Amino acid sequence: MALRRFAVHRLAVLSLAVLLLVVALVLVGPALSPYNPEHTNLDLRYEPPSLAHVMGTDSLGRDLLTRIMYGGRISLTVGVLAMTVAITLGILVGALAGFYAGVTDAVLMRFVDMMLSFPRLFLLILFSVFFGGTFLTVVLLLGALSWMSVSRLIRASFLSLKERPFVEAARALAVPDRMIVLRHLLPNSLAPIIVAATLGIATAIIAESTLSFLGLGIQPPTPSWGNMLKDAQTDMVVAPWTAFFPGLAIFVTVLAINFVGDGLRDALDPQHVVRSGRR
Amino acid sequence: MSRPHSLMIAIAAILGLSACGGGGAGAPAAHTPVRGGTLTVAIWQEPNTLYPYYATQTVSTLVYEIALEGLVRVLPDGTYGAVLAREVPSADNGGVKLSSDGKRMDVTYHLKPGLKWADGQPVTSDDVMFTWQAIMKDPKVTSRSGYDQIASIDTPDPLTAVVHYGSIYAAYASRFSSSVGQPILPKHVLEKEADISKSDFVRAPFGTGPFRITEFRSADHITAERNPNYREAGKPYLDRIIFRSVPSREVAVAQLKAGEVDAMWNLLEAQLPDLAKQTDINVRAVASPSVERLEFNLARPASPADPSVPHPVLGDVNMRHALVLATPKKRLVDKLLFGKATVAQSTLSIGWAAPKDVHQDDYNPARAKQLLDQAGWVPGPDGIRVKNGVRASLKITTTTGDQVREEIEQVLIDEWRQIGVQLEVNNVPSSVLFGSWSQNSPRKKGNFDINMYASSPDIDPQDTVVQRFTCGNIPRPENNGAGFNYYRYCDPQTDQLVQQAGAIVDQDKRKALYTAILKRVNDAQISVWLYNRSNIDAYRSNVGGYRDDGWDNLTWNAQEWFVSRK
Repeated sequence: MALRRFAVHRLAVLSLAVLLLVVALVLVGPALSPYNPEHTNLDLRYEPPSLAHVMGTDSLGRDLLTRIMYGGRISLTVGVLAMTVAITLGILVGALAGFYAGVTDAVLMRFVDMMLSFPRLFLLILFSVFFGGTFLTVVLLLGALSWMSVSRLIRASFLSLKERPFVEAARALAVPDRMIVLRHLLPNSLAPIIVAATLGIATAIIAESTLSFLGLGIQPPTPSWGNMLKDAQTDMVVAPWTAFFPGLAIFVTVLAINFVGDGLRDALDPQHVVRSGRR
Repeated sequence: MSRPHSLMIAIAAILGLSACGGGGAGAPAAHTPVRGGTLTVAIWQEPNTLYPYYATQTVSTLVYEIALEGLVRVLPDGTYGAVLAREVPSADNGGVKLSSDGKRMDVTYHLKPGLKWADGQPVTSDDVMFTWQAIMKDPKVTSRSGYDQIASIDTPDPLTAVVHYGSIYAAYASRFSSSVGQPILPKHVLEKEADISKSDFVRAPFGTGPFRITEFRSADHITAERNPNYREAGKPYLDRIIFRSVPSREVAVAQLKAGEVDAMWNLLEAQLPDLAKQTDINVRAVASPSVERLEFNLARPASPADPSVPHPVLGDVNMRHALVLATPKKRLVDKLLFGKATVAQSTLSIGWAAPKDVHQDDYNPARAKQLLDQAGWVPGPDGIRVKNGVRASLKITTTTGDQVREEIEQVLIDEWRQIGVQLEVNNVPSSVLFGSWSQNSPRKKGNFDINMYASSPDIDPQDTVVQRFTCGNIPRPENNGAGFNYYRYCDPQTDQLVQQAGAIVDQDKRKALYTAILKRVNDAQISVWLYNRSNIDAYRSNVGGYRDDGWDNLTWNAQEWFVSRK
């Protein structure tokens, strides 16, 4: 049923197709490319797009298309993993707060408020400087700073579901709390989780790009869409393709993810008619 | 202003305007000086002080140099010139006298008559004495090198200062020099201060220079006004110079192109092609003593490192030699720097002491592989060499936010992997890389594998070789982290040669000694001298009076600057 509702949303279906194409490209593409993304060739700097180099070359003579595909692996993986971290933390905190309510809820939600009050970019920069720009730190960092909105969603969902008759019945049958949460409440909260997860990937990709753009994320020579954009800042004047293609990749991917998320929201939760703030 | 006078100014302005036709990177247009006006210089690093003896940043010197002057300076051709002194003291003019036992020397400075501070007070030899005392007594001073060799200073008359050195200090001529940021301070202003670091002088200094710093608004701008008591009549031409703070080099270039600022300093070689196309901007590149290098840590990285424990990978001279052979210096210069720099062979690239036949091996990766094979570094399954269980894996550190340096790193990663050495990037902000021992700077503490940055020796290299190549100047807990021997290089014969070079005055003999020292240093393969950097400054074509000086900063002759009507 949900699938049918999703299929009606044409933009979402198209975007899903685009996304699958992007994923296929970054998974399979690198194996098909004759170029090594880290091999420099100073004689081929700033070559404009041609048959040999479909997207041209960058400031060190490296094939841009190959780097975008490898970079896509990094950016998408960071996006998915960071989102996973965020979702996990968000579910943990939100479930505890929503299920036990009372003091637990109050304390946890104040903690969430506190975390939300920190300027995100500032914290990202601060921790990057301290802990370095390795893949793991970037993923953990981005996850640790995005779980708050997920926790609120889960909490709201649990608070309302908790009062439903089927939960009362389960309690009457002496079903342990853990089972109630895992078997009854969580599966019924799937809708907002899925939507949050999808949009979380997009946010994480942008955040990773920002970090790399500032020089604090994924370190060279490993390509990521963000650090490719950073390098393109000064190269833009002589070689606009070095900025155009990575920018396009981010734009298309994030846009597609957003539309898919919209479609999912409409498909999974028919009560969500009004589209309020996405983040 | 009388009418004929203003008419002349108008004619001069028109002549100036018409003479300023094409710009680009070509020859400077002939200009007639125009009086008055404000010139704005873009700076993208913020000085944290303008007091010469606390400053560690080049940008600080750039600013205070227009206000404070020394007794001498280094001229564009690498010779010393007199500034506040009547002439540069030497053995020939009797300014330098050795003691009868040949173990001590006296250097006599005669001040030019009629010199005044910007507040109208006379400049006397007491100010010279005070400057020395301020350097020696103030605990916050960054370096006393050379001044600690002075036993006493006599002031027999207000225009004469006799400096008594307690030893033969070969680099005596480089002290009290504007070009190394060691100017004369006004005694009557600073003797009142119990702690100079807390006085207004460190943010708004004034001296005998053509301008006085009047305002320093952090992260915004620094204002300098004309000094009415400047010793050269009719100069400076400008009324005011403003140093505007901008966030980065790129922003400075953009503002220069837009005409929002008139000049900027310290561009990169890689920016030359873009600016060369601008017809209303002049770009000046001149050879400077700055050499970009890869610095190897010969000791095992630790915080602090123990110089007696060799680096597991770089401790092997064959490995270091191989890395020198695997670095394509010429290609880097030709491609990444557009041929606007020259390949370096040692730390002394220009000046009287620069050696003619000290070299490093050229790019030869085949030979590098051979060396490593012979030295027992065997390629592992992933292509990275291993010896005695140690993998040839290194980290390279340079300043963040510098695209050319990042590009060089990536080329090195690629090249060195081909000879079986793994290299990873580990960049840090410049304040961390150039930090102090007490700030736990990895460079000072020895917690690094390879550093990449540029450094400029003075025209007199004694200080540089002492600080960088002698055993006693390895930063250690015992000496509070003093010294710049970041390599942790210790060779008794080098120490001896350095000591000899500092104890004689004959320039030819000293030059021969420096050549020997640099040869030994290169044979030990402690550094890859990448390329010689130029001083590259840019200014709009309506700015006149600029002259190149590789030994000094953009502002060294600010009294000659003027702006024609735009």
